[in-house]
Amino acid sequence: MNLKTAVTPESSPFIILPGSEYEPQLHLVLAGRSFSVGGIPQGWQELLPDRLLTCKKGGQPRSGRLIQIKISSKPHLRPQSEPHDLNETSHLSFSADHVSLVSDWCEAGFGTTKDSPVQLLVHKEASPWFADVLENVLRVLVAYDVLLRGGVMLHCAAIVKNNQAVVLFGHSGAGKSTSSALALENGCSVVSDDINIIEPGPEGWQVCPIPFSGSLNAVSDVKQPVPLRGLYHLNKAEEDRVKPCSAARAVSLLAGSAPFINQDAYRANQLIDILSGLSMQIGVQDLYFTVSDHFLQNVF
Amino acid sequence: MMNTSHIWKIDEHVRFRRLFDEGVVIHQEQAETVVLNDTGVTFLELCDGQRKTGDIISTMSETFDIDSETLLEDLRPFIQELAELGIIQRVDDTPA
Repeated sequence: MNLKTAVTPESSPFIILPGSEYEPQLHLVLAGRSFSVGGIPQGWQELLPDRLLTCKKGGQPRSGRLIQIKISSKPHLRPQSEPHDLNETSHLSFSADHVSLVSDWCEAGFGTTKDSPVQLLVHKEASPWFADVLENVLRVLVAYDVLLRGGVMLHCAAIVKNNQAVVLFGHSGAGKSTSSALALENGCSVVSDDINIIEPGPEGWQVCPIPFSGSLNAVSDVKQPVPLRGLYHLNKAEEDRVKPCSAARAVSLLAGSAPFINQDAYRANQLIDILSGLSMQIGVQDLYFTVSDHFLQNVF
Repeated sequence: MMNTSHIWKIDEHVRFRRLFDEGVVIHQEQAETVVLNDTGVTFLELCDGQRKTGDIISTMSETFDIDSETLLEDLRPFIQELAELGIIQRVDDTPA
């Protein structure tokens, strides 16, 4: 029996005949994780943003997730109305070992175990939104893969001084982008002002850059993981000060900033375990700041 | 109106964990989190879908060394709030 002809992406995603419909055309390495994408229609890959394409790697990866795109004309994939904000229209559903994502123009499903393949169904007319579709799916995949490594993807800003990173998080409008811009003006680096990976590294907790959208990502000079020094929950105030959070408040605040996973009941205990460890080892503080650069003295 | 014969269970979309003398509650369906104090998290730990509220009050009044009536009055708005947040649900058939 010819083993190779019996192999499909479902049974072994990385034994694929060259030139077959399953052969990945794009290999991305995001925060140390490999994602291979196959089935991209001709001309669509060029529509991806540079920040994703700079993570492109040559050759065949030995591990990682295979994202198999299938193009469809099913009418239900077409959005009902404009505009197409995929963050707003995404809906996740969960089971013990599987996650499904439905959003404008696409449906995706993947196993939550390491290197499980990903099925991505995309409408044939979705090319103008292909970059958003793929990035949206990658965001969810990275969040789950980071969890497998004992880390968490956070909606937060991360700033760096003297190779030490500080994470600033809070609700929309709390000041993540403003504080990042102020840090940049004062000689700090910004990893991202939108999404960052926080995970255990060889020297302890670290912040890893990830090329997802963020207004300051383009100017970031941080390409490698940076040791994490502190976690601060942003609060706009009339004076600059910090106040330590209790363990439960810290976990609660961090969980509120852990997109996708914080909706998944099957991974809730794992998330709480990780956030408890993170908050107890690094500590979380409320940072009250006056929308000025004075906050930098309180975090570095 | 809450009464002592009501029986509460924790909603299936809710996970909570005691961390020292507080608790963190995550409601997945709403992606919301709540922090509870020691009294609050103790009440939640005892909401097993079988005990009546009155039995929970009795247990807690011993634990916290406080009389049952005072504890009931303190807990009444808290229980109401947990129910409104969808964290707990009634499972008895006592009229509201």
